[in-house]
Amino acid sequence: MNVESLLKQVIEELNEDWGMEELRGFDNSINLFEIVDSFSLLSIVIETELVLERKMGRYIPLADEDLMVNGVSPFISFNKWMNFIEGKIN
Amino acid sequence: MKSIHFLSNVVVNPIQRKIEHLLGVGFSVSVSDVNQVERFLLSKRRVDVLIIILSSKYFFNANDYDQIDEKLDLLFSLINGYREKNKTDILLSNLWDTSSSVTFQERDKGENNFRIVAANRKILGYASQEASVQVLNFYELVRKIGQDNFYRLKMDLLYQMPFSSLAICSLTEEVMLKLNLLDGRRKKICLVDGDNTLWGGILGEDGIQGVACDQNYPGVVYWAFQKQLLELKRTGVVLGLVSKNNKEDILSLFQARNFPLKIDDFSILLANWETKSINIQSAATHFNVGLDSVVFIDDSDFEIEGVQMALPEVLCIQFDLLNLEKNLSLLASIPSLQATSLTTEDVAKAEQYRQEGVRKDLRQIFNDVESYVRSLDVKIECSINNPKNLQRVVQLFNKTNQFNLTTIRYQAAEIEEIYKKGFVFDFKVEDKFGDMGIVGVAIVVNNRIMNFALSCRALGRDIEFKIIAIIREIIGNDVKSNFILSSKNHQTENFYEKCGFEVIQSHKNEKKYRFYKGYECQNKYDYIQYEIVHQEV
Repeated sequence: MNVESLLKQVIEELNEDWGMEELRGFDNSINLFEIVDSFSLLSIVIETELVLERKMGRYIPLADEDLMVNGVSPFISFNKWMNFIEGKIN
Repeated sequence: MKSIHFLSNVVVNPIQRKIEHLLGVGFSVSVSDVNQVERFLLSKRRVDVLIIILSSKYFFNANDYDQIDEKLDLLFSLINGYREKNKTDILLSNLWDTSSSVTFQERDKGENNFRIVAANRKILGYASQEASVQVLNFYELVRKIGQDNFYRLKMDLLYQMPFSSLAICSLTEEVMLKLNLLDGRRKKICLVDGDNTLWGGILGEDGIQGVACDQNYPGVVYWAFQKQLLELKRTGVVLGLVSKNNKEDILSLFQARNFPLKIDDFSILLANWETKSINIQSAATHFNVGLDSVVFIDDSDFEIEGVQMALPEVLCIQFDLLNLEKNLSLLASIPSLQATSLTTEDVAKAEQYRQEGVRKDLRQIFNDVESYVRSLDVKIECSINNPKNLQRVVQLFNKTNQFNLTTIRYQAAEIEEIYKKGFVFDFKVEDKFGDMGIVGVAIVVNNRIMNFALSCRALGRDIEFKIIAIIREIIGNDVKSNFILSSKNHQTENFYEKCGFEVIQSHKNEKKYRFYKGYECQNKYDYIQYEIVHQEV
């Protein structure tokens, strides 16, 4: 399973609703925490949960106390978000 | 721009954003902060539609179910107060249990569930008395997709956002469905194929006793599907059978086999070897409805594609032969077949369309409209500002496209406002074949007919002209009127001219008219009787 393309696809699909220019063809250093509001971050979390459940055949809860905390949130870069997800999967 | 606003005790922004995206331009979709329900309902801010989503923790905490009734009563009174001031349509969620309550007695589990069901009955009871309140059936959604797939406890505890992605999609669908229902555009005619749709197998090949529709699989699926169609008919959708078979064979089949649907349940039977699109077109003409009022169900790719190509306005639904049992959720999944609450006219519609067929046969005997109408013995009952008919008035203005003189749509609240400053006419028509119910509505403010709509099934018997004559008589002064051309109301373009009105202003698609009091119309349509049965001005 290619986690990077899977996570990018989730964000790109959500952005079809949001229409944010910054999220079109973004690179891995993007700071999602700064660009995307907290409600949209929640959407990324629950959508990712669904996609992972479908791929893995089991539910992996992603909700975490640090998700919305400035400085430690995995959303401060796409790479960090990817690492966070890989940690949860493993 | 129509304003839609969300209120909730949890984070519903993901749903709000999806709705905003789906509705597109022409709508402003906003959301209050969490737990601002009472504050908003007591505020002066007015919106067109208020969507209130309340999770169970709004009504009870842990096992404390005793407060539900009290909280519901308070909520209803707040909503009533808000609606009185603002005339807003309300979508209110029912209860679903996502509380972290725990019970150690098996008996209590059933009891708690019963309390939620009782509360939902109360919500339904409240909504059924208020035309502009609709229930969002979240309880049923949870039941369908399962609580574990619906609810995210940790997300709820951390971020007050209890919904899974699946839940958000389902909730969005439910909200969209109910928003569409507020517009009142329900399909009128459901045309169904015979072979492999109403029964399993091919009548011409398998024979009368060979086709499947009975208590054994796969016949039981067709049996249940026919029962669902019967229920659809009971709610006023007209059924038609469109089949590439010999008519005699179809009649023999229904005579020989004891199906849930009887041949008389179909208001039209088109069994022949014409293309389906020609038959569907002729059914629409027969019932005097637009093609966009028609749903067509068939198992064949070829037939579905053929109709879609030839008649794009028709909603084509394919009966799935590969997943037969899936078809039992087919009718329920078509939003435009659902009704929020049914008016008497809705329920009586199938019979009215049958009567219309008999009238059409009679029409062919007479040489002119007047003799034909005289033979029908038409009577009109006129009501003015009658709140009992509000729901039907709104429905007619919102559903009627062809004979709608401006195509301006109204919400119940707007009609209630007009009661205070003008006249909202509704016209009930009956003739010797039966009662057609309320088929005409008109709004008159300051001696101006702001809008007039007539159900297409009432056309062709001078009722529209008589209604204008009645309005002129009641107003007793110069009468003005408005016309706005739309893509569908071309047939009414010169209607006011035919009624003797004079064009006083014409600009692009709009015309304004005046009928001077002193004018005498040649035809007073005295062969149509009328009576004012309710007047509240």
